[in-house]
Amino acid sequence: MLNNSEYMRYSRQLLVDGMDDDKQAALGKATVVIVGLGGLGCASALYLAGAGVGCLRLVDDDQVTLSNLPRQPLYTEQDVGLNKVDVACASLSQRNSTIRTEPCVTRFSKANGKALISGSSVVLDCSDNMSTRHHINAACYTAGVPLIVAAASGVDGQLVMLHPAHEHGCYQCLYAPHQGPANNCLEQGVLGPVVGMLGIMQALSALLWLLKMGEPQWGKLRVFNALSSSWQGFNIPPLPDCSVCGGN
Amino acid sequence: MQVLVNDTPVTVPAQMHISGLIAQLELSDNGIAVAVNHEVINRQRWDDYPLQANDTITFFSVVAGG
Repeated sequence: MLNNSEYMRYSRQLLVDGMDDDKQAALGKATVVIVGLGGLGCASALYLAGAGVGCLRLVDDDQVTLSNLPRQPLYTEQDVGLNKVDVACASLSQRNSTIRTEPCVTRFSKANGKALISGSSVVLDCSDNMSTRHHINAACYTAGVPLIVAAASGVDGQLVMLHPAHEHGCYQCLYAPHQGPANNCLEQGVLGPVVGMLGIMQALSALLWLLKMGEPQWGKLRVFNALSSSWQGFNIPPLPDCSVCGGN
Repeated sequence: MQVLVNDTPVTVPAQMHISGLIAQLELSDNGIAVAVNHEVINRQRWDDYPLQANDTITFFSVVAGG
């Protein structure tokens, strides 16, 4: 059960239709893995920590740079040069000391993926390159863990919800490994609010899934364009010979 | 036959595949993705995925940054 302090802290979200004490307590037992602590990861981690997700495992091997500060609100000028996940864990703990954070200063790979997502309720792909995204997809499908992918570049954003137990395509059915540029943000830049918005959409999708609220859009790609302020939605059919999901 | 490409009517030959449409429109196939009738068509199917009259085709960018 929730204690008095938890009732006070989470009072506003407990008032939302469909929420109750049991769901809030379940949130406190969930583990969410966030791969990538850039613009997407900072935004999603802030809101998941605030909402009371019990454990956030943060995975990134980068250090904070000056060019991160416009769109990565967990970091300050004093943090430049420090490991992102160490700073992020400290920053999140200051905002919510009742949750646990696990810093993993490493790059997500084929070799360490299984261990990094072990015991997780859901994984958020907040990475910034195609190669890592395919590694995360493969690890989640092998482990049977739901995956919420977001990406942002320029004025464009994309959101994908993938569930290994559902009949739809996976990330490899969506994009071939060499279909996109290696790192969109380096090549095309990004507007801070665009990446922040997509990170918050990831946090919202994860929360709704963990709280069993609404109907998750598994197997859908949602495409956002900031200039037209519009969303488009596409289904992702399974590729019959997919080496990751086996065509589901 | 006529298809709709990103909301614009385009006339294409019968028996046209996605790769042919990309060539006709002189698009760079690097970093783009395509959906036909709101269903993503994986790149490995572009050479043999046949377009039908009145198909709704949407080209969009692959986005991987974060």
